Amino acid sequence: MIEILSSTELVTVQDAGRRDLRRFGVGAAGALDVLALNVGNTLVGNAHDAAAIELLASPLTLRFTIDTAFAITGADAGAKLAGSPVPPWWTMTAPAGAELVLRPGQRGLSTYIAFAGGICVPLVLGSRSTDVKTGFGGLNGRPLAAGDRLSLGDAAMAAPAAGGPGFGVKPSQAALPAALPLGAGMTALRALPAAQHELFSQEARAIFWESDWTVRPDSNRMGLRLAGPDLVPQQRQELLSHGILPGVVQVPPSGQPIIQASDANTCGGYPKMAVVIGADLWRLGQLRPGGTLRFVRVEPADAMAALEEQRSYLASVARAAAIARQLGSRVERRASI
Amino acid sequence: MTPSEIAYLAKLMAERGVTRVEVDAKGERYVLVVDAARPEPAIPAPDAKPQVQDGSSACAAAPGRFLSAHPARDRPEVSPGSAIRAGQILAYLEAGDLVLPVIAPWDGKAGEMLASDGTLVGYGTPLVRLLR
Repeated sequence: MIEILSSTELVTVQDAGRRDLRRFGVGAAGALDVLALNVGNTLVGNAHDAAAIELLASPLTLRFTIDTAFAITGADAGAKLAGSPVPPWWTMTAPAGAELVLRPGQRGLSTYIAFAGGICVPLVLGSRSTDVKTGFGGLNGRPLAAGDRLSLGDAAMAAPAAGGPGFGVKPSQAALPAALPLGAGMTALRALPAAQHELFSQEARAIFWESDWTVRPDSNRMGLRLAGPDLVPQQRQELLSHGILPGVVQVPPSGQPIIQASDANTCGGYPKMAVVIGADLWRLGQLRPGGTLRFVRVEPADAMAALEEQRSYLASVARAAAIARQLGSRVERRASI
Repeated sequence: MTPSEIAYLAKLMAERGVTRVEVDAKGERYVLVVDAARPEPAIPAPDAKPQVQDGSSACAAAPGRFLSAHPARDRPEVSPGSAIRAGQILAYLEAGDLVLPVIAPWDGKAGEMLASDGTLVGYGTPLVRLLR
């Protein structure tokens, strides 16, 4: 059992999201950085899509009621377990009664805490994700609050003894380099041109692909609103509402693009300039307001190759975790002198 | 393995504090075990690697690439003179996608880094100087 001691409305239970229900108007929800969720679950021996806690640049304090293996992945949250620092992208076992305190810094957005066994809130429409917009799923359809208690499922393996230093894996950011060698704080998102790309003048298209875009403060789990030069379509076209997905980049009449995120509406009518490739959606989940990004135009074959690269990172992480668990505490005890 | 290869491995084991090594080579299996009951022979320093004479050091618990800062961070975990506590993480070893901690064995102070960032180090290599 996990007890929440302090939280904010930016802390929710999320898994990999709801599949195949968009035709009924049910959005996906789910982790903004599914890759970090996946790695966290792998580190504690869970199914890759088990439910975890997502923090969006938010503080959180919780307490473990029994010895529990956990993993922290995603944005560095400056975690401390019973007062001792826990590095980012790390797993270890918390002793019963220990408090875990997270105080995110200035880099990245989404942090995940995965627990061995996964968070056991009820499945709603096939997922444990909190749909904050509509108010269902997760824990009673709302963000976590002080006093909440979360049950965990049965762990797939015995937790390593509490008190050990644990181990980590290479962060996604380090293992999967950006498509462009951009400066610190800049994110490159690989994207494909979408259905209405040619509706925009050549000039507008060039501006879209070559400009730096800033994430506006009114961005949220539904979408990232961008600020930059105006993109005006060549001819104003009224589109019938049509299905949209996370990653779709729409250009509303204001000319300022919106990138759809996990809680995206299931349909919309704005012209679509581009769509962020699946393998880069996790990078969206690490962009906080004020962050800057650039779109990098790629071909479908590049998008597939990027997915393959991501799969081999995940496989490598799983192997690394298996090795560390085998050797782990035995070796670490003899680390010194 | 040839007798000279076995002798070389045995020497490395003694230097690095390894007590057991298993080798599978061309269908043959060798197990080398250090007999703890016997006093260890004096082994001369093998090379010019930093050898800590007047103190102790935190050593590599596994082979890997030495990192004074976590791969997601810019700042090293400790700097010379930092107070450290037993069990504290002093640095990291990266082996493929695995990141292992270099742990402080006791309370004290960190001294200088004995390996430079990014270098490959073997088991038992002294990494962080420790001061009482």
